Amino acid sequence: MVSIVVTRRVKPYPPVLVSILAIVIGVLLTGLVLLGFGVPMDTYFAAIFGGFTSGQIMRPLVYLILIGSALTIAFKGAMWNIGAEGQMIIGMILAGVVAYLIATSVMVLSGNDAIQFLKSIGVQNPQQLIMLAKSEPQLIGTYYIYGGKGVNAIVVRNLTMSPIAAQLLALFLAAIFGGLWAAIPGSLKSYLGVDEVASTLIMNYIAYYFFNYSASTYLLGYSIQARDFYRTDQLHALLQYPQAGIPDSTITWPEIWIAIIAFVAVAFMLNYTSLGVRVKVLGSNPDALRAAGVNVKRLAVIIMVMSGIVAGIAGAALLFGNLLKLEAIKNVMAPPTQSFGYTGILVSWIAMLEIYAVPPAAFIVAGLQRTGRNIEAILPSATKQAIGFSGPGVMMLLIGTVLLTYIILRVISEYSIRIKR
Amino acid sequence: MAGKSVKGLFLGALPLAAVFAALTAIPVAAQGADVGSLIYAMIPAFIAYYLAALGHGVFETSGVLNLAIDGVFTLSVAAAFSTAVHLAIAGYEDTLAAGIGVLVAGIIGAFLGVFLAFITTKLPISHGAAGLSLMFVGYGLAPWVGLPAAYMSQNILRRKPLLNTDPVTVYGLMGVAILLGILLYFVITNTKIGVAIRAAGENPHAASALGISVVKTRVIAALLGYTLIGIGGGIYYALYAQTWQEGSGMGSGWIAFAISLSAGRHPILTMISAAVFAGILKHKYFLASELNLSRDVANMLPFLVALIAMVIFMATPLKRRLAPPSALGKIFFREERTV
Amino acid sequence: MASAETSPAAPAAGEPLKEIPLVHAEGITKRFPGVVALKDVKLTVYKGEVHAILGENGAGKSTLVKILYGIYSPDEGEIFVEGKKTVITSPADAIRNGIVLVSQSPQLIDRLTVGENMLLSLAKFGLLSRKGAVRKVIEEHGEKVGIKVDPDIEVWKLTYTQKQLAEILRALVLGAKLLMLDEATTFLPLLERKRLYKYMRYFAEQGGSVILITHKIPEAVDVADRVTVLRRGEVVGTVNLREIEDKKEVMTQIRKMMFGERAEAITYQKLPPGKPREEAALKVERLQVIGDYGALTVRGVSLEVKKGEVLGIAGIAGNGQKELVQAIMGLRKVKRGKVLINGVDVTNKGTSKVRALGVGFIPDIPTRFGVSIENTMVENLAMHPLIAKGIIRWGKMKELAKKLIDQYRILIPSPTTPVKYLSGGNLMKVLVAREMLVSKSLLVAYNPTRALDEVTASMVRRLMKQKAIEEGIGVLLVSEDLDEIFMVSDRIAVINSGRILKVFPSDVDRETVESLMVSG
Repeated sequence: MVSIVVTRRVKPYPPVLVSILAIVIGVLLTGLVLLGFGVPMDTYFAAIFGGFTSGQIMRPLVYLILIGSALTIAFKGAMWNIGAEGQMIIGMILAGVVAYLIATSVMVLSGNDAIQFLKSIGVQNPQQLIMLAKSEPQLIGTYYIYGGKGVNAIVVRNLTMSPIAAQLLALFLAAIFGGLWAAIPGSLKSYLGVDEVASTLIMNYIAYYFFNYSASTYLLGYSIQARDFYRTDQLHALLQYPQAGIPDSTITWPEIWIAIIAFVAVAFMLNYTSLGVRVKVLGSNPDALRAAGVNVKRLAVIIMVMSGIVAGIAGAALLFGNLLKLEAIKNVMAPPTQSFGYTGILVSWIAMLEIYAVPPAAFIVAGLQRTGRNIEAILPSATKQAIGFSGPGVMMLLIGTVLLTYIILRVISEYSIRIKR
Repeated sequence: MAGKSVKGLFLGALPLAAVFAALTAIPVAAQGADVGSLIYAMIPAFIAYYLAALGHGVFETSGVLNLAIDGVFTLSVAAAFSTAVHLAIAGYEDTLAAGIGVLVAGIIGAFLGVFLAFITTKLPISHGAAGLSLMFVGYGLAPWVGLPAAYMSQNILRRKPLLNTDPVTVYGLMGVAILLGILLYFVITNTKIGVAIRAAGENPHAASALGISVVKTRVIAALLGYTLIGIGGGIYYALYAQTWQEGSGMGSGWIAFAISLSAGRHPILTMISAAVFAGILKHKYFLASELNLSRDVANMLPFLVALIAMVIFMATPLKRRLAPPSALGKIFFREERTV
Repeated sequence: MASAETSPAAPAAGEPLKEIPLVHAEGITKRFPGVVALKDVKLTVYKGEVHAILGENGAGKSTLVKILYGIYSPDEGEIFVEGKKTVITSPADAIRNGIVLVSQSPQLIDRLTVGENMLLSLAKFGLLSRKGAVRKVIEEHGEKVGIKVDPDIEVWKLTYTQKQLAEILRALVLGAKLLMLDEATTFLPLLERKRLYKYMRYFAEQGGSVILITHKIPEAVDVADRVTVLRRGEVVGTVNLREIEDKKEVMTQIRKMMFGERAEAITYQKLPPGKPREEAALKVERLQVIGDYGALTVRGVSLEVKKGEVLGIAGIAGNGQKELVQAIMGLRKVKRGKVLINGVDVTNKGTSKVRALGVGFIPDIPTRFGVSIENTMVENLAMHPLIAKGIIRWGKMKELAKKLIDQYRILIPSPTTPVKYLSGGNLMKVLVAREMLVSKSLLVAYNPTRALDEVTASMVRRLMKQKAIEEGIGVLLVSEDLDEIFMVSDRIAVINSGRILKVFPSDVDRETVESLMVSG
């Protein structure tokens, strides 16, 4: 008879080794699976290489640092928050509410009204501007002018508050509601014992459909493009974050600053406050913490809220820095969050739940994140159709295999596995 | 799960059932619609979700936290579709092709489930992390399996091979599903393997000390449970949704999860819960239009009800009557230091 | 001196005359992170003998039998069953070889019936066999041994004694050749214990073998044919008791083997009396608490701990001690009654309220309710709300840790070492050091020395008493170790079935307390 015997190693292997090996093996395994589905190995590796060497890595890097930090708080406290997707979505919606309902007013004009209005704000050639606005919104003063439905129709959004104030308000509300959204599964877990993995995941779908509802009802745009695609108007030009000017990347300065500030704040909280120590102990031994006189139920909710706040901020930043509009989701595998809520899980695990390891881990995962799209760019479309190419499929597969490899290697590093007969 | 408390269980589940029944019945009654055909229309959804939830319940009774369900379910849907299309192109009759597709979905489910049960029991691995990784693997594989078939079904076959929707097939499959539920209930409560599955979920350390193999037990539970989850995914395509595109089935696994949880993983009670959810899922747009809600809210409804069902279950005495297995999701490692 | 043998090949006189031992283990080594639990251990058990294994807490007794039962796998070493090399990797393997373990905490599944538990154990019933099949087997065997259990009752409804008896019945139904009792009889009532010892002798006469683990030297000497003593994971020696006349001398010898050169340093002397003041540190009034399975476990307890005194609570495990302590600490809901600390009503106000009044707590399972073993020593200090608030200055925290390391002589590489790398004793010292630090008005200690070696245990007892005398805090000492209760307490209360039966002054006679503890 053969049996497998698992015992705890007296001296575990260094965790960094585990992370690196997990990525290497996971990437290779995914490559093999993709090869089986008809993606040539050289294309796959070229796509991975391309992911790391182009400026396009910047946006995933920034967001994975954000979400990786958010999830590290939660995971360290053993709250398995798989709902960063939903929390980001809620942040986005709130940013949308600020951008379209609070900070701007809207007018729908046509014919003489449109011409007269444009003249009143000093436009020399209204007809030409209307033509231009049909293809690209035009900024004049605080007015942002879109093409409307009809011959001489335009839609005008006027910014009614200072852009900085609006941007900060958006981040603030996104943080609050992202936190509240996360507080729901947090409280359900703490006070009723509802498994947070299932509830956060289910809440992601609720958030997705609420997003669709928002984009197609109270936030629905007035411009022709918006009406045709069930989406909001393009974000007012003055609210859009300024570009950082990094080659090959559309990343903006505020996105970079938000990531840095959030990362530092999370690191400080975890390593230099009593709250941070308690988060760590909650993750390893909640009973000891409770016996020491800490309200662990409340602490668990606070952890989820902190995590949700960071994810909510990320959602708002993504709208102002990159998406510039909210558009109803057609394929749940390709949501507007770019699935950072899910890839962030990988970052946090690969970083061994150690906050200082989040940036390097985010860098690696960011490089991999674009693999799917890079393959898509390389492969001829006939091949893609024949093999049934799926960009999101590549990404999910990478997340799954690297994560699976990681947890198995982690066990091998801490336990010795022998075969006895 | 002693026999004498079965009556109590039914009584305990009544409020839950009543809430859901009211949810479905009110708009139906208001419309004066043909109740018979409305119920008939929800049977395919019932079969798919009941089988998946039943399998989930059996699997979790053995103590392994099942977070892989949604990924595996999604993959099963794609696998059933792909198999059916390939077989139909090879000349098989549509119903037969779809039927084999459903079985293949079951086999794939069983394979992944056994893998999950084995690694989480043999190795001291977090059930949550292992389940989630498998979920992502399932999500990731599904489009690769489904998309080429979708291309073929559109351009070569020009149709989707499905199961028959005549009353004989529909009622027949429903009967099989219900019989399976009753059989599993009997196995779980009355046979040694059933006792072993419950023991592995309650206290694997004691179960092992009593002399049973926890690994073997959980692998058997996975074989039973995940075959059902896979078949549920297959039925989801071949009888209920009757179509496939990228993302099909995503989220449905979580609904099955909630169905099972809200019925305390009890094979018989799960029927009630599954029937209620099937009603909501099949008639969500109808319900939404009755309540003057948008299509997106209708899509959200099943998830909202799933969350509420989980909350109701955990917040009411139902939880105590149908308590989850004590060792659910706990790492089973015999060699823990005691001093 | 009795013969202390080292080799099974040279059986001493009076040994059972069997060439091939039933079980022979050799070179057994087992390491855990931070501890070597067993080092090159050799053990031989012959057919027809009762073999006791003695040793202080943490000596490796349980680890050894767990290895024989396949719960742990040894890092090195071999096991021979009836002369044949055998690899045991699971309890199922062990049972197949006729080896069965009964431990101190019953390994039965609470939510299953007795019959279902038995069904799982019996390999002769196939996977699809029905539940009812096992009933006859239970009844037949039960009759033979004189143990009566209803196969249809769910295990959680049984008392501790009933569960333990069911366990032993299970072992016999399985047809055990080697029955291993790991402190299995320790908490049984005297009468049951005596009956079982008698049965054990009968079992050995019929050719069965018994390994008996106990910490009670006199009992071991009474029942066993041979005694093997373990110390810090190593075999000190084996003593043959068959032909010993002078039991007293043997006991002294065994004591020396157990504690080594420290045997002299260990005193069971009574510590100096406390200085009780007028004010009460703790007052409990008609307390009622529900246990884990919904039954009323604390049934109207009233007691008072004055500042400057130690109140000891004596009782057999499972008589409501755990629930009482948890209710006082705010870790368990109080159903009825009141808890007052320093005169402040803290009933159901939560642990943080209790702790804020300066209450220290030494729990039963230190690795669960005391320290977090994955975290470092400084983190284990800083997690405590009374030690750190807001922003943490790690420099100051390390200084504090170093002070405690010196004061308690904790063996730890640095304050930032994860405490999982510490031995059980040092781990406990970290906990005791922290809790002493936060005890400003009251210390609640539940089996505070359970995992400690005798030297450290003495130190902890002394420190508790000192704290009461010098700083005037009240100490509530709940312990299942009666020696400890007598050594430290100023007054002794006896708890039985969730009620305090009586409170005695510290000079009460031991038999009186014992008889109240077991009275039914």
